[in-house]
Amino acid sequence: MKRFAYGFGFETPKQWIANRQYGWDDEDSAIIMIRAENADAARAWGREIADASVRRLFEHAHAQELPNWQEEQYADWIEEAAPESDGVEVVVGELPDLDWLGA
Amino acid sequence: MSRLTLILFALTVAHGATAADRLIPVITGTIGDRTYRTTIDLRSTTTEECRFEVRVGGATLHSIEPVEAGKPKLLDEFAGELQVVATTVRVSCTGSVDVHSRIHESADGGATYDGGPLFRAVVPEPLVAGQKLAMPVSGDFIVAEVHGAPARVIATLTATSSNRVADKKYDLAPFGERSIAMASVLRSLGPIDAKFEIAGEGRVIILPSVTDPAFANRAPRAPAEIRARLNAQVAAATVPPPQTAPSITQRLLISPFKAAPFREPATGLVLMRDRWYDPSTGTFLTPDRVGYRDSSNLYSYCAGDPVNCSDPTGRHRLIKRKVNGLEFELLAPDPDEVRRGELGMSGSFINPYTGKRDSFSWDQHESELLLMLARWGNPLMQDAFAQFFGMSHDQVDVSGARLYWNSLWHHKTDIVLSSGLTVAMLAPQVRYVSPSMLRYTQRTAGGAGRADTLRESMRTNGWNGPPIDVIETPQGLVTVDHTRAAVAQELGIQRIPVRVHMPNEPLPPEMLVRFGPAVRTWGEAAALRAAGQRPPLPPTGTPTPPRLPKPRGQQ
Repeated sequence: MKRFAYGFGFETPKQWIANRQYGWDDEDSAIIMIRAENADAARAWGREIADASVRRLFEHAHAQELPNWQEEQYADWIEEAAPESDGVEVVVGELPDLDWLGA
Repeated sequence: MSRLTLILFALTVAHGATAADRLIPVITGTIGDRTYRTTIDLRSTTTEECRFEVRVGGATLHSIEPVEAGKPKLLDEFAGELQVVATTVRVSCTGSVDVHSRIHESADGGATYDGGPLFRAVVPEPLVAGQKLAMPVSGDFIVAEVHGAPARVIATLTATSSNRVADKKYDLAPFGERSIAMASVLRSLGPIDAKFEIAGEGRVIILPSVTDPAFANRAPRAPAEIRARLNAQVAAATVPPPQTAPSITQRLLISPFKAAPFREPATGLVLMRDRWYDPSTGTFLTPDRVGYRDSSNLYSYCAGDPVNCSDPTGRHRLIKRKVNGLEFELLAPDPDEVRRGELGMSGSFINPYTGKRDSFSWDQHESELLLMLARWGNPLMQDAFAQFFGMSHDQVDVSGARLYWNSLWHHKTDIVLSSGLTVAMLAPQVRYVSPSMLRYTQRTAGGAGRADTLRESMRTNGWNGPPIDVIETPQGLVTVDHTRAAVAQELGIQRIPVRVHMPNEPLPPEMLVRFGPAVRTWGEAAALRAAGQRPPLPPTGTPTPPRLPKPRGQQ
């Protein structure tokens, strides 16, 4: 298995509200290390992680509506992880602690 | 001259600094055409002893002063026998003692002195990650980040009866500060010992917050009734309420002259002075003598007639801008002319005190002189503002006034009175740059369909919107507006308008909503955006443009 860095953009609950109210475009982003057979598998699993993690952010904020990260169409990318890169790491099929983006 | 209590210093073996040591500024003697003396004020609820240590000409001198419980002790002409000293004195006391110094300045060779600003002794150096500080807590305190990087303060508060009170974490944005209220805890549990530990890249100063009303009553230049009257007048002029208008304390915290904050007990102001603090040497308070070289010019500021000072040449842009709810009309001079020192700035604004339009004008040289005056709380500055606003002398407290001019960035002059009123400010410049020249503080942009909307618009109309906001840094222009710049770059648009801000330029009120109340400057806003990336980007961002989502249908 190879080690990939999967990155994705998202809006925090505060940004989600303010961007729509004032027309701003603020986004946060996060990178997670995923061990997978290939980049496609890593990316597909990364999107599941992004969706679940962002949903958890909004749950913490007691949002009335939980966004669907994949439908909202944020930028994401996949690249082979540099050997020295660290951070949260999972294998395909494994979810990280979903609070990793912060409460 | 008030009573004379000389404090005698003796030659001593160098005393090793401890975490409990504090520094306090002291100036004595004649420097340039000014004469200074310093009064030290010691107060404690218990009988204690304080040791003062000062370095003069390579020697270290010390003195011991007893402090009786409940009896304020005043040391007038502190270190006066040392002739000329402009430095800091290291203070260590056996217990909890409030130590303040007031620096009095005389323009007539010592015949008369002004009240002078009051400084509180502070811990000498900011704490960095891994360092710990233990100190008794006898009131509210303030934690402030002074390096420009995020920091976390972990505080363990323990009642002296050894019962733990709480573990607290205070996250600080770059240059952020938090005031920690302890009054109710102290009332119910009595004295508290606090241990502070720092995490993150920031450097943190922990300051006691001064609430002693006795000091406010002794304030020579800002008695409470005058401040109240000023506040009432400002309120009547519909200046925004405090929650939307940055306070003078907030503004001073973001001052380019920040070195170490001193809180003025009488006014609650934190004074930042660029030459006053060098933690590597422990010496401060080197006055800029250039400021007094041409004393005749000290009087030339508007010559008591600032309304007629303005001399528009017709070569300037007229900019209308609201600052702190005050309307300004500014004639922005050509930056090259300013850099050459050929032209200063001029403009006009609605005077909140008179309701009439006033104008102002000064050149760069005068600005620098005014800066010196502002730093030293000089009465001449007070006179100038009093005349400027058509107010009586004692209605203007300039002890917290700040003024700067930084031609390295672009021209900008700014004076802030202690009421929080900004009396002069140049609008930021608009330039045209290639989006490929920008630095970005996000790794992604354009989510939720924003990129697609802009792609469609820019393909049809090109750039069709207001400038984006960028911050000028030594690394380059840093933006906090990403999608438009990234889409423009994707579409090959080579020239986009940017509105250039200085890093320490206060955010307008609408941006305070965007970035939160803890973020007060454009530089902090960029740092916040960069810190929101995981892992964080440097506070000045990256030249790599943010990734955009692929156009809908191509994913």
